[in-house]
Amino acid sequence: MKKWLGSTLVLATAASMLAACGGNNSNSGAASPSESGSAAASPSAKASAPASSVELTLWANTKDESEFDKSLRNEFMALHPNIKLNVIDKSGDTNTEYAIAYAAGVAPDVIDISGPMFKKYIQKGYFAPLDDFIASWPEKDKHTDVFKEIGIKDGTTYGLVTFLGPMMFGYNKALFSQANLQPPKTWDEMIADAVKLTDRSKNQYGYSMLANDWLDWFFQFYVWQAGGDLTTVKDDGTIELQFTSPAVVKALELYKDLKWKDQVVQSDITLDFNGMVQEFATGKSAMMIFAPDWVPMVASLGMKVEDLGIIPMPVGPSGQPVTSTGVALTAITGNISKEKQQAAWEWIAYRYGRDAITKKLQDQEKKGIVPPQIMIYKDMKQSDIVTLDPAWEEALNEGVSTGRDEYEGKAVLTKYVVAAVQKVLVDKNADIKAELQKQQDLAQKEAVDKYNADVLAGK
Amino acid sequence: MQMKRWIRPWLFIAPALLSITLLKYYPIAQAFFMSLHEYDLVHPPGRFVGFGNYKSLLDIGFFWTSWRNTFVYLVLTLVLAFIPPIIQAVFLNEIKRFGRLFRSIYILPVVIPLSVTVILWKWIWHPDYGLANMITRYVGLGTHSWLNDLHLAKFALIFPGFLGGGIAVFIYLAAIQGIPEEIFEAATLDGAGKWRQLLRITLPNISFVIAIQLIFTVIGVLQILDLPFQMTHGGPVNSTSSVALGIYEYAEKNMDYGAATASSFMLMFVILLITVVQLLLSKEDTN
Amino acid sequence: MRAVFKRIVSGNKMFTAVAYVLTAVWCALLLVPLLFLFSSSMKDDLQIYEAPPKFLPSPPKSIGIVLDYTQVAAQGEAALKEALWQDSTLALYSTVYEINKSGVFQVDFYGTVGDRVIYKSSSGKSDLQMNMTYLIYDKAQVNRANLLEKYKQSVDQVGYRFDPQGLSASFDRSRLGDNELSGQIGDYLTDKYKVEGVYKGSIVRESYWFALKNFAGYWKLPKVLFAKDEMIARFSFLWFGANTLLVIAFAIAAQVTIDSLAAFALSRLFGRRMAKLLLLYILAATMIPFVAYMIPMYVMFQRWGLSDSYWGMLVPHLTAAGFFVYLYKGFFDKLPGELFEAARVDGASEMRVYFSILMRLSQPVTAVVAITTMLGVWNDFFWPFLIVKKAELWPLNVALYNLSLNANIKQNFLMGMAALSLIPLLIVVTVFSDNLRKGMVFSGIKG
Repeated sequence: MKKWLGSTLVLATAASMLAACGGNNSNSGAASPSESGSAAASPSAKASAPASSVELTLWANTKDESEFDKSLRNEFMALHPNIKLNVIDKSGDTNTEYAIAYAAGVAPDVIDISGPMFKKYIQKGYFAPLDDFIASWPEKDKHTDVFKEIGIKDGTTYGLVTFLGPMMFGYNKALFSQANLQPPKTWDEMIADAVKLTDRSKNQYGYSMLANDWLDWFFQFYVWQAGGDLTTVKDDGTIELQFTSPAVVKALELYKDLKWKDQVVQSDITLDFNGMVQEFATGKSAMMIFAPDWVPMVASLGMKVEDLGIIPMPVGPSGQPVTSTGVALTAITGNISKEKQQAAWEWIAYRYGRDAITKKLQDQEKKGIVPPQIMIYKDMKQSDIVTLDPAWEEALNEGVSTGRDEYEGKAVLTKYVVAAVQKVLVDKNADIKAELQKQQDLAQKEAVDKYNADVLAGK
Repeated sequence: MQMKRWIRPWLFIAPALLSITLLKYYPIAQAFFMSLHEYDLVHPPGRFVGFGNYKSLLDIGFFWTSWRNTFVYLVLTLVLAFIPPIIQAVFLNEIKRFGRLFRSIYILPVVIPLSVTVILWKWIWHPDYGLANMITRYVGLGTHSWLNDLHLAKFALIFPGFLGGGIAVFIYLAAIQGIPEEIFEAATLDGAGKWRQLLRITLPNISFVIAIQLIFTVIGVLQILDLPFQMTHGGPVNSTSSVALGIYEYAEKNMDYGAATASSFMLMFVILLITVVQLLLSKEDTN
Repeated sequence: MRAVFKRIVSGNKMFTAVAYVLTAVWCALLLVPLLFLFSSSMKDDLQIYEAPPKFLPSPPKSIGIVLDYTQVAAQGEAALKEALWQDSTLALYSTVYEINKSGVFQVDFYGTVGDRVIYKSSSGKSDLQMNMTYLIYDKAQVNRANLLEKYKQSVDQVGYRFDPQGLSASFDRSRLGDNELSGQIGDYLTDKYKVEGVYKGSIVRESYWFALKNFAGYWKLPKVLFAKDEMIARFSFLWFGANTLLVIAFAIAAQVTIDSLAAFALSRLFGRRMAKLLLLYILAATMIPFVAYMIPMYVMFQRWGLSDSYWGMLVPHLTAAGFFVYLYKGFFDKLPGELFEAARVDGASEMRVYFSILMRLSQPVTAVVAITTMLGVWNDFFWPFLIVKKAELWPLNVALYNLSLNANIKQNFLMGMAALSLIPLLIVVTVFSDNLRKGMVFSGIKG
């Protein structure tokens, strides 16, 4: 379940997952900060090195790391003989584990946390303030401003944005060209293409639909494209449910048609995220919502990189392209000594520094698989360093400009959205409006009232 | 160097008492304590809310759905997985030739680890590539989406137990073989056929074992967790979620330890209640 | 009178017939899923997606690729060897990568000089895939430059036979190029991967033997996935099995010792009233279901630093099981008092009485405790799943579940690994069926 990415990416991945895990477990935008690079116009030279030796504990999914990620740690240790990186293998979801580990006093010293999760944790005071470190950081003015506010509480910075990834749309170029089709620009084209690309005798279908217990992650995009949102935020920060608004109904109607009328989605609705990516990578499915940093994953699952098309999301009835941008922040655990915090900052600055990002990109290029990604430094451009599929780059740029944060209140609302959507997907005769109304009422009673009360109480 | 006499019995029993206290009574007390708070892991215990967690659970639709599901599991298990081993054992007892072979086959499910069962059956139920639809189509029952189906999913989860009764078959078999031969001989002399003997002698004589098995089955099913967790994670639309799975989800997904432990406590209460009722009933029966 | 007699007989015959038919049918039904498991594990990653599924998959294919090196041979042996190494690497991986719509289980590479076969190298598809994803190429894209960068490692890994004078290996020349893939293979080898040798054609062979080779791949996968965990890298699945066995052994030892010691004290050392009270305290604990204290225990174990360690899995098994204490106590109670009197007259200490007399006599009870505990631990999933995240600690159940979540593992691999982990068990069960059954029944009687 939550382990979906755990199997493919890196520690940072863990973060990415979190990045991906809107509050409870639904996955937000894209993913791996590890992919987004690492850093190192080493401020380390400048920062006063701690005299005694320091051991930093990190969490990493060592099983799925690339050789490069490992070498990065070794290089860092060679540069900083007094700092030892002690890596604990974590292949699961570090989302809740971090909180439990913190409580037990065994939290890692540096952690990558997804945006939605970060908002929660920053309130709990788990992290160390970074202001002093940032103040003397040569990169401070060039570091990205996007989603910077997530890392700040009451004027103090606790987290550094180290990964940004907009959600895009992926299609299988080989299948499209065989059928003589152009990639879809609108919902209607997407449906038409999906119908033409569905051939059950060849075990092939048009569109992979995320329908598991965090399906709202993908569903929200369609709601936005239909011109609305699942919730609206009032001035005082409280939320109001919009489940029965026309946009949500339209998005769910689209899902219903894809499943029942056009029958272009996988027949096994319980298919988990991993299975979905696998079916897309092996050409069983022709289209799916796709984050650029999954490129290495589908490639390792057997997809030829030249067959992978990445485009902006098809535009819905609103006529506006909208997508979400996943974000991960890196933080230092607050209850460790000052020396350790200093060492931890050295590591962050190295890992997400310019040099490391550049080297990582070059390593990816050498292997022939460069996922398009947003640079976390304003003056850095991916295509200056490596050659990139121009179509991918263009799509990415559009994704950046149309990206937004996930729907407000997702952390407590996922299960209600999931219940309504799944009901429509498993029951042909389900009444869309009635199901949405039912879940809205439940959500209001069970979750939203408490959520709003907490917001007003300033928690 | 003789130890004081009174201390020695305590030395013998100390490991048992300590372990039970530390690993059972203490955690369950802890569960109760946590359930009274809006539990905060980092600064335990957090805000005291009395029975607030219990009260808000009762207001949550999912809580009731998971209870309903759990009882559906109970009924399904009783029909699909509890009764068959009795039938299997009765007939297995009659078999003289190939007995060893049949017994060896019946014993297989006992050693198959749960994860293997899940990997295998998830694929069997797959709407496209699975065996289930191949068979139902062949016998004219049409194709179904099994684990995707709101109504069939629970059935699909329990069904593997219908094929493999596991150890229960052998418990009943041993119980049947433990019935004194003379009773059957006397019945045969009286002209009672085997069908009649089954109803008049075999079943009444193993009813005690059946009752015990029933109690254990009920306790087990009310705690059902591994199976829905591995097979479906409780979906679709919570149709396979159980109370125990809910406990895990409150804690793991929502980090709401108060709700998780409150739910734990209610589950324990219901299990205790049902067990006591069953015990009383079976006692009355034997009297 | 005769008629009545006859009716009974026919009724009885009927009963026996029903017994045989029903048992046979039930056994057959029970075996169907298992057969499906094994048949699925014989398929490759394309056959597994056939709808409807076939019980007997069509025979798997191997592709033999023949390249000629007559020209290269003129440049001397060193150059020839180099060319063969590079070309064989290119040919093997590119074939797995390019031919992804029809099942290939194995790729053979033949280098020839005229009529002589001078080089042969072959590898199963699953091995090549593992090299691409994990071992040698670290998920790099399959193209000429990437393949050639590490061809030496690959050649070492895959192995080869080389003799400029000619090998005994041979292929069926009459069937060279006699298949629909031959043209495609030639195209990509010459145009895209630019091999040095001259493409002569390919041969497709079919044999169930290749499917059996799948199992070598299933065996290898955990080793590759967890290459850093020394023990898994060495023993593959067996290590997960060993973890389970360790927990089983510990749990049995703990239960037998702790429970019988307690029972001895209750039965022989305490006064009647105290014993009753203490037994009640112990028995009442059995009424607390695991899920009720699972979460606090998890938090507690985290705080105690027991998570992600063997102790995290083992410590809960130290909990005395009320029922076992009760069993032992019942047994000890029935033993004649003279036994103890005699020992006491001998001047034996309680410890010696306990060990020399009781443990020897109570073997039947110990068997019950051991088998019940074993079955319990064997099927345990959730607690180890919660408490150990490190792969090298996983017991079998947790390992299989976690592997099933891995995106890089396709269904045939999953089924194969499940099948593989069953094989030793199936052997044990068939060999020891009767003993095992008796033990279980004895233990099961308690319910």
